[in-house]
Amino acid sequence: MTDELLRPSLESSEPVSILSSGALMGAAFFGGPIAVTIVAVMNSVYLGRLKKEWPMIIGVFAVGVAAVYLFGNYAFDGLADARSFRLAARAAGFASFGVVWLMHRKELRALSTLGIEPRNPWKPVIAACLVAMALHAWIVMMLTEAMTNGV
Amino acid sequence: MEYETPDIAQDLQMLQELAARNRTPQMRAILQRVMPQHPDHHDVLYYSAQVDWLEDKDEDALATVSQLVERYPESYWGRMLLFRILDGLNRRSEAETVILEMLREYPEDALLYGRYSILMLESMRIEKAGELAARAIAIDPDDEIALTASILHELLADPGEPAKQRLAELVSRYPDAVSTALMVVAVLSEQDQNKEALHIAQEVLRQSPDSQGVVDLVISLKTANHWSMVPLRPLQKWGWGASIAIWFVMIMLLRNVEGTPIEPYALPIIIAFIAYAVYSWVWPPILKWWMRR
Repeated sequence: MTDELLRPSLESSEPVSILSSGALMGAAFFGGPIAVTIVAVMNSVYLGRLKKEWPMIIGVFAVGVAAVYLFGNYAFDGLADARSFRLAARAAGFASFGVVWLMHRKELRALSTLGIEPRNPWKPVIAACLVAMALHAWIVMMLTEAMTNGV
Repeated sequence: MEYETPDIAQDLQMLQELAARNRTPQMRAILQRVMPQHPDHHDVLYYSAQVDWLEDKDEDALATVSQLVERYPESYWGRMLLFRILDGLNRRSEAETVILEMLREYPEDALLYGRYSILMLESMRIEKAGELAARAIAIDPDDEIALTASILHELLADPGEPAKQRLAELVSRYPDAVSTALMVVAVLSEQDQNKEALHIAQEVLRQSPDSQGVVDLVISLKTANHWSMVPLRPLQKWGWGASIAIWFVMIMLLRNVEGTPIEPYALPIIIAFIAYAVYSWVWPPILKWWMRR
């Protein structure tokens, strides 16, 4: 164990940091569980833990999809309505946020407790939200077509 | 070791005491007199680097401490200061190289394991930081830095009562330690006890008046305690949970308002909600900027 502890862990002097919980919340609000999943993947890559965490991230995505279905059909007006889908995606995004926060809570707490500068969120979060919004629009279109065709 | 005249010995003693209390102007006055007479003296070079480091002049400090370590490659405190400066400059892989070399020479040094643990925490290697802190505590359970590293790791994993109890014990054992005080400030702030956090941060600022990091911290806490931030207390106290709850309540309220007595007030409620959201995003940074002036 001692030899392992004395092995260098920092390959370069590039400061290691992740996207903050604020960035994660922004992704949840504007991009739902898809954007949250993308941000979770980014943070896992920054931490060098994607190989270990990918099953949990798939779980986050699955929780998000289930939450969209549940919120859409039981709290709002179904998923074929664009506004209702957006609200359901937002609510599901918050649920996914909670799961991802639990997964990376030590690192997210370290940002505030140790005063570590988080990564600049603008480009990654905007990109994640644009991808999510495009997918949302496509899903709503598919659901509307399916309902129109009586499937 | 160079022979020390009573004068230089007295000056070095004075420098040590002044450094412990962060009295950098007085340190500079002594060094200005002593440096020309003893430009290669180990302790003179050390304090010369340290005074720059205490004033956040990290590049200048690095130049001097590099000179010290080149002249005295086995200097423990010289290399420790080099490690601290590289860490402060975010040159963390170089800092890691220094501390690993020292650990190979001093494999039973709790302070070195503690410092390495804190470096790993700052580098987001939380698991390794925990193992290093445990090793440090096993070597010397009373070492201040080992305890600091261990408690920091515990606070990140679970900031519950056991960790806070250990923090309180550390503070009572080492009341003058700046690093300990800053940890207490961070924990109090997380718990929305910003008034108490500000009081401690101001004490730290009195001890380290030239530290920009501490100045920034005091400004952040003064911002959080400002009277205009009172409407934002629920968000400060309950964080993202409060934001989500407010959003959910507003959405469900507005979706079910039709036919109820509050229907005529739906638009003003929406405007008030949006105004509150904008206020929560925009006002804190403006207030912080204004406080800094």
